[in-house]
Amino acid sequence: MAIRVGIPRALLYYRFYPLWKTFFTELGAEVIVSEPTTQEIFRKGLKKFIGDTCLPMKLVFGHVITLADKVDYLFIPRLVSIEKDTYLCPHFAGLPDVLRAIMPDLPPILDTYFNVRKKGVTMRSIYEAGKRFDKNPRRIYLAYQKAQEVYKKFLERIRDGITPQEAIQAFDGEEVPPVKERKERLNIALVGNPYTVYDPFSSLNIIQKLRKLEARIYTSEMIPDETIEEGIRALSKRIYWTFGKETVGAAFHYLDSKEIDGLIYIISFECGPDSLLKEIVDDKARKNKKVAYMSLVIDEHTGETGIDTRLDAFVEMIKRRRRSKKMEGEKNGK
Amino acid sequence: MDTYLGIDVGSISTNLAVINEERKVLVWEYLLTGGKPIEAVQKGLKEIENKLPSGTEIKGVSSTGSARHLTGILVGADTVKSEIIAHAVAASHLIPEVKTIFEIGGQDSKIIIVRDGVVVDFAMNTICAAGTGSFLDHQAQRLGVPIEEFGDLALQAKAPTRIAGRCTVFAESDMIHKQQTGHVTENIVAGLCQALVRNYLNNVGKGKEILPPTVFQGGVAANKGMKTAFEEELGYEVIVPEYYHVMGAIGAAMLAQETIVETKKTKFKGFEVSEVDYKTRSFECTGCPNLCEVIEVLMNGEVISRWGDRCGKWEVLEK
Repeated sequence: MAIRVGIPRALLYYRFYPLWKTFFTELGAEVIVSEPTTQEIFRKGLKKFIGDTCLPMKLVFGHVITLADKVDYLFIPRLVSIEKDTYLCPHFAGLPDVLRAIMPDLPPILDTYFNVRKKGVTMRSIYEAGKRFDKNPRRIYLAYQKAQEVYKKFLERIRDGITPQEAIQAFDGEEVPPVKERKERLNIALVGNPYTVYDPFSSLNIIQKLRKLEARIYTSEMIPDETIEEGIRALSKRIYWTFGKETVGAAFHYLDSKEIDGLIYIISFECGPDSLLKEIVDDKARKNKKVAYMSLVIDEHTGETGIDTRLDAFVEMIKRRRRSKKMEGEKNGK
Repeated sequence: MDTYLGIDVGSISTNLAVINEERKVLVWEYLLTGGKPIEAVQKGLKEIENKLPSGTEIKGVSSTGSARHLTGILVGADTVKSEIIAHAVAASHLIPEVKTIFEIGGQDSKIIIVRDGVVVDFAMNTICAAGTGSFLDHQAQRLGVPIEEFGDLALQAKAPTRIAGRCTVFAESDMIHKQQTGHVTENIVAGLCQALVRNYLNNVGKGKEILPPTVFQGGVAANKGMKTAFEEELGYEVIVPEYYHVMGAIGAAMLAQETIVETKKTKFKGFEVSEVDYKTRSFECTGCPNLCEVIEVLMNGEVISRWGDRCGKWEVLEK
């Protein structure tokens, strides 16, 4: 029987799942992903978590608990840096240790160390991740190459205009309606940490809600890295948080572009970097009179009235702005 | 006479207003929701029907507020819109040059920024309920001051007491402490108004371009102490409109009028709905681990609408 590797549907699952899954599958392992977040999963995690932290970290605990008796290994990489010159939040680097300390009975954790800040992904960390499934470094490397190819295609699909959530569904063989066939009248950019924005539980289904309001969604993954860098060039200092950089870069790009009618920035309550970066985005958005802007702070609430009221008002505001601009245009035209 | 009806069902109060084609308010009704939105709407409709002159025709109806969807189903609303838009529409009709709207209601407070008659930005209180009507109500009760007299009492203060307004918990313990050390009630009441205004401007109004003319509406606008505290903090006069407590309903009525221009025919079920037996019930769907709480609305025992499910499978009613 194949060795079973568990991947919690949390945190960087929302960015790297196709890469990770392909890698382990190529090496003959069976990949098991936890179910989509539910209230029950959240509560399970909350019970175990010691101290207070952000919602995404609480959620990963619940996912790990539900996977524990279904797998031989848990894949919880020790992520320090996943990109040159930037870092992830320290919670990521400590996660494998914290999990082990709180839940000693978990299956062994594959806590491959990733720190690519200086040299990029090293052969060593790839080998570390794969050695339990195949001792042959060459085969491990080939599996990694294959995984990278698949991952590249996954990223390309998102650039075509589907959301990362949908790209993951497509990767898993589900059908995703083509962008062209959708009836969407507004263009709204949605930025924030991927594990908050794309987990429907955390974001209170914001993508589906916006689509119902006839909005087309734009995300940070849909724009190339260079554009993101371009977006934040004007800042006096580099942003050294990976997702912070991406979020602010994308927000700046969308605010300056003429593509969108509105920008929504989702932040987690208790996220340190978010609380700082929100000020930078707020400031830029305030100076832009053309694009509607709103930030939403999410935490553990399940009542959806609050978010519904804000989204309704946001979309209506955009529609009314457009109408008044059109009327003004007609007046001036005469 | 052709008229339009707006219904704003909030957590604390349910407001109804009827306007004519010229957007003049004919009648209005303000009643407490009391946790029973259906009954409040039905009672309000009955009152409105009694107040309206005979021969009045309702050409359109719209609902807003946190129970807007439920209300929309009950009465057959032509449009259902968020209260932010309703408040803005009403305020910019009554005061066309309005640039800033403060709206403080029972459970939430909002700021709406309007430029040239169009909403350009808004915010609602996030995680904090300080500065909403319920908190003032609670404190008035604790101080033994009837809420109606709260504002006038605040105006009598000679030296408002400094009270921490950052959080309702701190505000309350701070107030008790000040009482114990001998501060007089009117100074404490005025201090509380100032604290709530600071909290509002720092939290809800944070980073917003607050410019005059500023309109202050919602139930809390009845409190003169709050109005004065806003004026002191901002340095200019704040306008409390005549119908400050039913602005959401007036705005909704205007939205109904707008909608009818396009759709022509109203979906209004008539004042008879106040007699119909409406019930709601909820159940937990066990179709998946999400365990959504699905709400059903029943008319004379028959399900007419459902919501609350994330996947949408209950929303579609089988005929």
